[in-house]
Amino acid sequence: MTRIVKVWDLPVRLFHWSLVLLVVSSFVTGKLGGTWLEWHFRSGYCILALLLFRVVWGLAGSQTARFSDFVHGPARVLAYSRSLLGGRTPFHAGHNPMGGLMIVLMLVLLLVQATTGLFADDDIAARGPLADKAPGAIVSLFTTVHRININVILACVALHICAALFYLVVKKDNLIGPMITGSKPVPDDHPAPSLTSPARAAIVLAAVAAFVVWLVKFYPR
Amino acid sequence: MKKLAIAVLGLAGVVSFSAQAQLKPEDAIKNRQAAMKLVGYNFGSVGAMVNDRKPYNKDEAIRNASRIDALSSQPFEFFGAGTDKGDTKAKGGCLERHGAKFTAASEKFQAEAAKLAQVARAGDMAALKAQFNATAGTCKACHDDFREK
Ligand code: HEC
Ligand code: HEM
Repeated sequence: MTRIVKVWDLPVRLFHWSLVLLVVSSFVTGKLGGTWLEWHFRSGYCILALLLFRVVWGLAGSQTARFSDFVHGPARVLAYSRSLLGGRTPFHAGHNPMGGLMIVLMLVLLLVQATTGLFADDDIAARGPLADKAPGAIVSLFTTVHRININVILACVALHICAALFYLVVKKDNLIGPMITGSKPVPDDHPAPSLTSPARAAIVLAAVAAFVVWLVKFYPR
Repeated sequence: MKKLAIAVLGLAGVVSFSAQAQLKPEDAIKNRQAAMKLVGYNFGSVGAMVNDRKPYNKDEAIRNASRIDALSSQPFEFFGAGTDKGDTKAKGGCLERHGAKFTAASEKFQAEAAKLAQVARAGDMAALKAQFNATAGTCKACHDDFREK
């Protein structure tokens, strides 16, 4: 038997869907270039703040948000991936081991993207706010990484979406709905995850946002 | 005999050099990068003014914009044969393989650069900003097509 249980707290869900919107807007404004880069920078700063928030939330947030809940060694990941092909997969209230791997991968790739962006220079009209602080070789290296890493991010996003659809269609397990509503059916013998108060999330977000503002507006002066 | 051979070879070298009357490819590459850098330096200065990152100064804007205009054809004299290899980000043989398209891109840029110099002299900030953006579009179009990432 199952019952409906809240597994994703509001901060995780808001993080997820604002990241979706912001990655799309960063991608589009980055490719457009020129004056769009003004918006590209703003969108990138928001992503940076979100990522820092998510790292803190992964250490001090709700149970299903914590890295300790979904980061596993290669043996667990491999065993889980085998069970995926075998048909019967163990139940996870939060992220399954492969999903956990994807989250870490995307957080790292996006952190690389946002950090290199701070130093990037398009050689025409836009320079990241920290470009003046770094030697030219770093600026050109980071700009190149920024331009190439986006393709790796796109590939991961595509894989991520395909995986969600695979679960929906093949495994008959809707992962997308719970990321919107927060709740899903959980077997009776699984305890409900403990969720941390969103007030704590608001404080963390305010702190990392202040740090980002300092980093891009005040520190470069 | 040996001395004669060296003398002949040396002479042949001098003759072929002066017949080409050209720079060595690596010097051509350095020159075009230097020219682009100067364009970039002046363009960045105008950009900082129109985007409020530094105070607008009409004389400085005029100076920057007329230098861009004066330099706008300079880099493109250094894209000849043999300059596709070496310490360069230009995509293989800009002029040799993409002649018409590359030249068209450089001419668009030169036309916008000439307008930029005119507009700077008029001293209208809004017009300068618009013309700056139009010019930046021609830089980007060429870099997207002809410059490695
Ligand atoms: C018609 C093509 C074209 C146009 C137009 C153009 N560029 Fe370039 N630019 C290049 C190419 C090709 C290179 C790479 C040269 C190399 O590495 O050998 C380059 C390199 C550069 C560099 C790097 C130079 C270095 O190696 O340090 C800067 C800076 C630059 N361009 C600025 C600009 C700016 C600013 C504009 C417009 C105002 C502009 N470019 C317009 C083709 C163009
Ligand atoms: C994680 C968030 C980010 C994403 C997804 C992203 C994505 C992109 C993309 C797709 C491009 C176009 C690359 C190309 O030409 O192919 C680009 C360019 C650029 N980005 Fe970002 N970016 C991000 C964050 C930032 C940040 C925070 C800054 C700096 C404040 C920044 C500064 C730049 C600059 C200066 C360019 C122009 C470089 C060039 O192509 O010549 N980006 N970005």
